[in-house]
Amino acid sequence: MLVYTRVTEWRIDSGVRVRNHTAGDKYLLNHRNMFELHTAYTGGTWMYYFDNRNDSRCGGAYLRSVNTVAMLVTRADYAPDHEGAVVLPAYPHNDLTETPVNIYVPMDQISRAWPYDKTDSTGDYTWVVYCDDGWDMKTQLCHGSFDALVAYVNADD
Amino acid sequence: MYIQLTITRFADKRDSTRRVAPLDGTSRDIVLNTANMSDIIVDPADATKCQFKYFDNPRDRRESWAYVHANNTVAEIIAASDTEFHSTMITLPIHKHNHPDEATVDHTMPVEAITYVDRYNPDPANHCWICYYNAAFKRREVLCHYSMEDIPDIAEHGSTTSSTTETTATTEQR
Repeated sequence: MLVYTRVTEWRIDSGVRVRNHTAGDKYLLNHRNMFELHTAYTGGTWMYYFDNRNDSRCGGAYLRSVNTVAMLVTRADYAPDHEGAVVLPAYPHNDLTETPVNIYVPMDQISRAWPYDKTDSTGDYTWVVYCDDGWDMKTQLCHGSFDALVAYVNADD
Repeated sequence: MYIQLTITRFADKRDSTRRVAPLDGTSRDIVLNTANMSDIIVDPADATKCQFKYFDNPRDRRESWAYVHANNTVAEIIAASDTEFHSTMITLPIHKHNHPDEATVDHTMPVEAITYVDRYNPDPANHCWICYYNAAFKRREVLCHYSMEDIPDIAEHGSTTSSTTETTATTEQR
């Protein structure tokens, strides 16, 4: 379901999704959005990643991960916790000064998550992008560290 | 899960209802994904057969369904639907340029991406056509270095369990 990995290249949004092109930025990705996984010449994996697989207007973006295909498949096969609904303490209007409100998102609809501060995954905030089926994508700032979210959904292997 | 069905009619708009061609005679074996089926009913004329609607790309609201007649029972389809996949992803050796003489490259994709598997007429024991979708966005038809019968086997067990020498040799070459 949600796969923890480090991404070294992501050819979308002018490449700004990744800052550390050597070690990679930490991401939680949805395995259902991963297509055509291949072994990269650098030893990791390259694939086409679809932000919203249910929207026919959404094309795939080239994504490179430091992990092997076998590792990503193993991580996709884990038994997730809270698969039905992930509880996210969400800041209204993505405003850190407001009080977080719990929202419930089916794990299947989560497209990606990453630390608010990309250099510190133990920080207090996490960005989560989820889809309302094929209709809409929402980028939500949530309270809690990225590492805590990974542990909460039991994503790391 | 995938299931190999004996199709007698595949009334789709995309391929002008030619998936069961006159050269096939009265039927053609095709592997379909049970997740893409809807409205499965027992054939009113013969309880050992069934009819259903089939969506090549269920994620795309523009995709209309095909009407399929099969020489299989509804119970067989339900049994296949209830069978668990070995993994959430499947890895298949795909020939470059869809040419059987060219090298293969392993493609890994979610199991639900595959919509159907069709026989490769010139060499059905070693190759098959795989049709899959990259999300709702792009349809791909690629030549795979497995027989059509191997694909449900790999999806269920993670590898082929066929005892034929040819198929086993093919698997080992990977």
